[in-house]
Amino acid sequence: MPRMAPSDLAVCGECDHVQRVPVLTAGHAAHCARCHAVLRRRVRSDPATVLAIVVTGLVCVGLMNTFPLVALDIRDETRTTTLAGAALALAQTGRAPLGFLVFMTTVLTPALELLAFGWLVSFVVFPRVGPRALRVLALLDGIRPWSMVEVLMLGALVAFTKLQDLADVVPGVALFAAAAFILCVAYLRYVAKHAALARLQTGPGG
Amino acid sequence: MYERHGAAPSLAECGRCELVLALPAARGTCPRCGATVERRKPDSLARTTAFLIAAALLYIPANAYPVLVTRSLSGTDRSTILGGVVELLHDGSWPLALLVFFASVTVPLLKMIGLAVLVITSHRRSSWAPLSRARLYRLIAYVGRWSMLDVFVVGLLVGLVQLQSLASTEAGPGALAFAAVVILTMLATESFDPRLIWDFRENPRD
Repeated sequence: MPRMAPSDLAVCGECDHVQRVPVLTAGHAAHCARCHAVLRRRVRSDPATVLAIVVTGLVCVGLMNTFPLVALDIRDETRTTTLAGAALALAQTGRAPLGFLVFMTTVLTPALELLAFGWLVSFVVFPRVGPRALRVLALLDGIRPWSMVEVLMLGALVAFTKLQDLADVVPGVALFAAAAFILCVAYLRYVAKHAALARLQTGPGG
Repeated sequence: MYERHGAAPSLAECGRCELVLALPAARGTCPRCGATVERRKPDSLARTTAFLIAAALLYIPANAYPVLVTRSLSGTDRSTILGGVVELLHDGSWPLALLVFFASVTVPLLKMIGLAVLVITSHRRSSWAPLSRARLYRLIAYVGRWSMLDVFVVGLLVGLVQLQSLASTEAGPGALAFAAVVILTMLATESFDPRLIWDFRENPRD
């Protein structure tokens, strides 16, 4: 069974450099002396704020997927599409792998990511951060590269501009929900892991 | 100058819970959270190279074949990635043209060339500019997802422009190849272990 070392030590995850880290105050980060990667970070957060952001994010996920992204007014016809609808259209026109990719990166993983954050935050709010909470952290690390709503937003911008000659483009509820989602997730990606790890070190009630 | 891995050669840090522990073997289990702690990602260079070669091969059809096929009353329009950029320029939206060019040409090339540089220099245990190489890796990891932009643009256009007799769009074969390039380069980035950049310190070249 591996032996534990003094708690002011850190081994850089990107270059293996062993060094001492000072005790951090809220809002500060310690960087590796050799390769400048982030070693430790102490975030300013309180459980109420984090919980509020998680709930907001969950609402956004619901809105993003139930309402249409955009409405196109062409002559007398109005066409709308949701995220799942775009993925489905790709699948129906013989490009199922693309449809699946779009679905995975804009519907599945964002929802999964936010649910995982919610689960993680439950450990922080009801302090009992243990090995199970840390497994959620690992899940979040795996999901994160594949959750790409911010790229979708920019893609929507480009697509809608291209369509402007064709028809009247009216952004839908889902688009604004996606924007809010991006903000929520940006906050959670920054805060949640370090808040959880800080609870881990201080123990329940800390 | 011979330099050991920090003060104690067998220290490592758990990627999940940031616990520093003694790791005499190549792999162990974290006593606090149960995560597997590895000295290096297994077969990192081999896997990264494999993904890179596949991505480079698919980059050719991704640009040669059309990504978007539009059938309308005036005929069938097949546009490739670069064709789409030129079209945006003709429409006068040069900021968008620049954006699409950046996301679909610059970023994938940066990733492929950058990762090739990282793989080759790590394989040869080169001591050339390790800090710059570490930063290159971080840049590639952060920027990678933006190359998905065109996939979303195509997906949204296909989802929206289905007006039966008037106009219809479908994703061309180039879109599939391009999506594959994006996925493969993301997998290549995830397979690469940045600690390899600093491994020249144990066995410096003559």
